[in-house]
Amino acid sequence: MNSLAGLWHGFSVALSPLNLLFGFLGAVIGTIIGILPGLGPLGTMALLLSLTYGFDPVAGMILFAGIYFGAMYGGSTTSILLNIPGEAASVVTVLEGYKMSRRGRAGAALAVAAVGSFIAGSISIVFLSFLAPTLAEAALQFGPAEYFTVALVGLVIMSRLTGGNLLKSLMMIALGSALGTVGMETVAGYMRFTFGMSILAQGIDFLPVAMGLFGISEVLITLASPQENLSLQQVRFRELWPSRQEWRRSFWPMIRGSFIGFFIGLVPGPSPVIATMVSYTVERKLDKHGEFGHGAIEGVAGPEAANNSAVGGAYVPLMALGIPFTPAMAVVMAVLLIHGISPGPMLISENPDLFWGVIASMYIGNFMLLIFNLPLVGVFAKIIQIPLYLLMPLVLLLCLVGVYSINNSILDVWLMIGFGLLGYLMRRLDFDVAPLVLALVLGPMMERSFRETMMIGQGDLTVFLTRPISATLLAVGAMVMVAPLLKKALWQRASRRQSSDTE
Amino acid sequence: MKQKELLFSLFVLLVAVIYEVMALRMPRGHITYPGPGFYPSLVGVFLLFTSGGFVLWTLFKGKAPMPAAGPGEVDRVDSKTNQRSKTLLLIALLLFYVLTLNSLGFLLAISIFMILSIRIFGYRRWLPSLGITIAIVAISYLSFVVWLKVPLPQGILGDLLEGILG
Repeated sequence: MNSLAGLWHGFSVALSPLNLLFGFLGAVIGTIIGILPGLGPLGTMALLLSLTYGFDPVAGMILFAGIYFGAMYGGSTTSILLNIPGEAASVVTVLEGYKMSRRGRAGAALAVAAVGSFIAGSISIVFLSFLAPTLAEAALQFGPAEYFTVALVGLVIMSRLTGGNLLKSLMMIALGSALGTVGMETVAGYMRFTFGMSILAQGIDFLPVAMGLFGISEVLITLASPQENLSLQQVRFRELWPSRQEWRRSFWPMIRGSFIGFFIGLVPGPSPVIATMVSYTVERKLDKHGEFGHGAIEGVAGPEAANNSAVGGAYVPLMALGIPFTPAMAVVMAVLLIHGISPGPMLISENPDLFWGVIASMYIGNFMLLIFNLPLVGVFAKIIQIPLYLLMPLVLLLCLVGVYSINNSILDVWLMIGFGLLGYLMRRLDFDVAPLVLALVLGPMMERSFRETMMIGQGDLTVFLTRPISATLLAVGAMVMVAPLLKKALWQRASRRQSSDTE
Repeated sequence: MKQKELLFSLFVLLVAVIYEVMALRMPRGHITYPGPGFYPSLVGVFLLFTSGGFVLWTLFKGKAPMPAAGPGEVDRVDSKTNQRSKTLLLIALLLFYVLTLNSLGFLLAISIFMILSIRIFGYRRWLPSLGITIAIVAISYLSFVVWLKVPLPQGILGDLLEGILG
């Protein structure tokens, strides 16, 4: 089945009433959690994972795609109207969006953000439709050495891209990898780090860890930070239409943002967040009006397009290789795994309904989001006024019940609370917890691939360098690690030379 | 901050040492046929390097300048202490829930948890809190226990409800 025929088939799956309903539900839930600061798309998907047991896997995937895209739409609303980014990927939108709002152009900023998100979402889905099958075909040539290198380089890139201290990120990766070795080892059935507890034999599931690190710790951080009163700016429907000049100025930033977002989405790490930063920097560099910092519409159009497009990009490695490059994609992968479906190169040929149905539903979901996000922007923005004393206990209840329902195990509740406390502590010390979760997810696969590579290659470590794909990936990883250090050293040398010249 | 970072990194270093010692006691096999301890011992070395490196980095990095005390400093300190005690209360409440889940059952344990957490988050009126708790707990019971058939520990109230709902 070629991509166009596949997509046609996908629409027949996605347009069934049940799948349409799940697409709609996902879009609404995503928009709401995008608006509410704290619980991001990852936390929400982790909470709702237990509910997808009862659904068809296609419906579950459609629900989660709707949530992920919806969160990107919703996050811009409070960034523009309240100066509060509901979601990490909307932090950059605050810079110009809120300034536009202060100048009385909130409606235009919201419309450009929504239309930009729609255009970018559509472009990234087109890329996903054509790129994922090609990559999946190429991935059939992958052996264990390539899988090991993809995961290793993915973690290396993530440690570099999450920002902050490199040592902290590497320490998180090491901790996640160590947690991934707990439980019964698959080749000889040897019990590792279980301390005699049979309950640990299955290993540490990443969901209680993710729910603790992202859900529970977020509630604790919200409680520990002083709250401010919010004053919501009203936007009338007729104010939503941008002027002709605003449209003209937004068009190319939207297109550039779409491309930037998609290609950054392919890279491991918090891609929607990085995509918005790169897009903002590019638009600022290209600025001809000198309005940046005072409410430039390009600074809203570009980043908002980029974060939506990155979501489409992030689906490519998962659907084509079966490797999640972000914690959110790991939760999406869990939807497939609990239904006995392994994502990877064979997914498209073995489950065409699922693959093409999900992609087609993304088109429909994007259209739905545009239709109801614009007219209902005022209603959605009011959601942020839900008092914390209602919202936070509700989030905790969903965490406590949701985590128990995954394996019906009290150990998972203990793990979630333990990692919630650890996450609270680590986030207060400026540790990014995402690399830990990703290393925990990728760790067992890395170990399996490493051992298989060594057994096949008779212990020859150079196999990672002699196989072309693996060697190329390792070179990319090495460049990512070394380039910033080299740049820093050169910069220090240049500044030393400059200071000695002036003396 | 520096002291807390140092304490945390020392804790991770201790974990790394214990992890590596345990990994080295496992059969490592040979590089041509790695055993169950081979990969963990590599991970342990990585953990030792990163946590040890972070301990050194924390020890030798410069001290961050303390912010100057302003006019509202006393209020800020009071508010911070208040938020901290609330956070500790919520942690205690989470532990209470998980410790009593089996003995009290889901309905009772989550109801106590909800009503008290609503209070911790700043809502002071008991009667509306009770109403909110009953509504939320009823919805969650119907969706998870009745609809999704999650076998949450039943306890006294659960048995009663099961009798009523059949």
